[in-house]
Amino acid sequence: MIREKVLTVGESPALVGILSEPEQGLDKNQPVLVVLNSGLLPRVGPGRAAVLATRSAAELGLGGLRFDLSGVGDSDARRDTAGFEDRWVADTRAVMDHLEKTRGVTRFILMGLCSGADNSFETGVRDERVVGLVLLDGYAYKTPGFFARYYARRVLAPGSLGRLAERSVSGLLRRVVPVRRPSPPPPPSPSPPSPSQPPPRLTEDGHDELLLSGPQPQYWRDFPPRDRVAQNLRVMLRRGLTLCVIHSGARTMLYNYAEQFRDAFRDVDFGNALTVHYLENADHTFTELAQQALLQEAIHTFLKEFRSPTSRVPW
Amino acid sequence: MFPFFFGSSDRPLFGAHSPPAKSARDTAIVLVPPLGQEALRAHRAIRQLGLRLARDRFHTLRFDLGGTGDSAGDFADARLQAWVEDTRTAIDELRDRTGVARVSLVGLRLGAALAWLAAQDRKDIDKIVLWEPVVRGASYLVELRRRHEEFLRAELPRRRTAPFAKDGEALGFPISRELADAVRAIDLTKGPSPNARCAVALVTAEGEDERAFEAALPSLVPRSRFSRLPVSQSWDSDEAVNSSLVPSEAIDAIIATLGEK
Repeated sequence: MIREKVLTVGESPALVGILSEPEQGLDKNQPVLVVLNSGLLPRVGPGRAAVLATRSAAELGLGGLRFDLSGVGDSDARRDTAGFEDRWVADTRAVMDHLEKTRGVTRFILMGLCSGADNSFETGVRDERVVGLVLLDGYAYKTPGFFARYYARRVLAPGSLGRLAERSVSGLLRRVVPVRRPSPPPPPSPSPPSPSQPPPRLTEDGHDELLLSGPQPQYWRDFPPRDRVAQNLRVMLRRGLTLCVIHSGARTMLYNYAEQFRDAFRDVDFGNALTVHYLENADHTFTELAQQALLQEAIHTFLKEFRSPTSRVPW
Repeated sequence: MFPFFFGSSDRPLFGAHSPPAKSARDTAIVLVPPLGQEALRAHRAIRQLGLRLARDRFHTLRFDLGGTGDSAGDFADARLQAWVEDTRTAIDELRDRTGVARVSLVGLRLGAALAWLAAQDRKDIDKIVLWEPVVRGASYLVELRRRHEEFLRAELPRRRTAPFAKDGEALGFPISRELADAVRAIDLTKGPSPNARCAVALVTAEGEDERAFEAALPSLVPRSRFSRLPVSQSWDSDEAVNSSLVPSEAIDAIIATLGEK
């Protein structure tokens, strides 16, 4: 059995969340899972993913808090002029401060999808109370393995050989009869769309077209330089933080095989602190129920490792 | 705004009460949410509506149906009749908290149908505002399935092996056979009528269901109005999946409707 309570942090503006806790209440020796918003989606998340994860944490004897960052869901907007990233990291730390002050909890696992993953990561870098991260479609960097798969798929795609032949013939003709053409537009930033915004309409092989042609919608997010992320990973791993990285198969132009995260950070010694899942048939918001079940199973398995022996049920 | 849980302790519902800053009107408002993806998309709009109604001196309660949002339970176990009861529980809760004798209901999409059904055996309902109502459940289920399939085909263009359209789910939420059967039976054009002083439908869609409802409404609720909103809210567009909408024209129209005598 678990129980749930409304938690408000601050007065005006206030942050609003729901705390899921074991029936006997929070154990201050156990970490609390804190789930951040995905873009502008309210705290329950797509398919109630945050509700299921926080309840799962409470059933394991940990706590679970899903809350709305300022200006999102039920939380008021802040009145300062800080940028979104600083503001949302500050909100997350304010919630952790509150749980430490009122419940004595000193360890936290942060979880988020898309921008929620980014905010979880950045908070983890800045706050030593963060002992675990669950990053869903978070930062991703291309590797030789990515490009090998990417181009293999293009070559094997239906009709691609015909297109290749056509291009070769036109290329040959252009060499014979030079034609002045305008410069192609710069490629778009290769980041995934935010779940808070409508996804771009894609054709059957639209991801390829996105990479190769034209300006793209403005709701694509930028990732920090890989080296900075690698350095921040080393800092967090030295503290003993563990990571669960989950990528959906929807982002084939950004992440296209299970071990891409490890390959992208070969210069980081993860030891046993990293678990990676690649849900190839999932879309960015894990819409299908079968994918939701795989996602929740991965989260549950990761959370189980955080239970201290005192919290285990004796059977 | 005061977020809280209410209802039975074994199946609490999440709600948010927005009280008026100054002297309250003698009618309070319960906002009945839509379902699934539409609930995610409409959250901000319903919150804004609640706050603006409070500014207009109404006590307002918005809430999550059982098994949805932050309320207890699993969506997979949800039943239409239980949601109708949840709506009645919310009406009772708001009356208890505020002491008002009469309540008006604003329901969005399937929430409009729930408000319609919840008002059938009550004597304390003033107005029902049906905001982009689901008129016929059968059409709604067909539409949900189409949107589910189109959204996933767009999101996963490479996947060719498994069918996207499956029984039992729609855009991230399980639809049990019992729930589907109960939703399919909804047809607001055939009654029975809600026991409300008046009903107002605010609609942008121009389909057959809406035209049939426009024709039937005067005979179902003598004091009624069917109004066309000028701007599409895109509640049923797959481009809007996982986005947040705050249609200000609709919110203005609802506030004006509730302020009328």
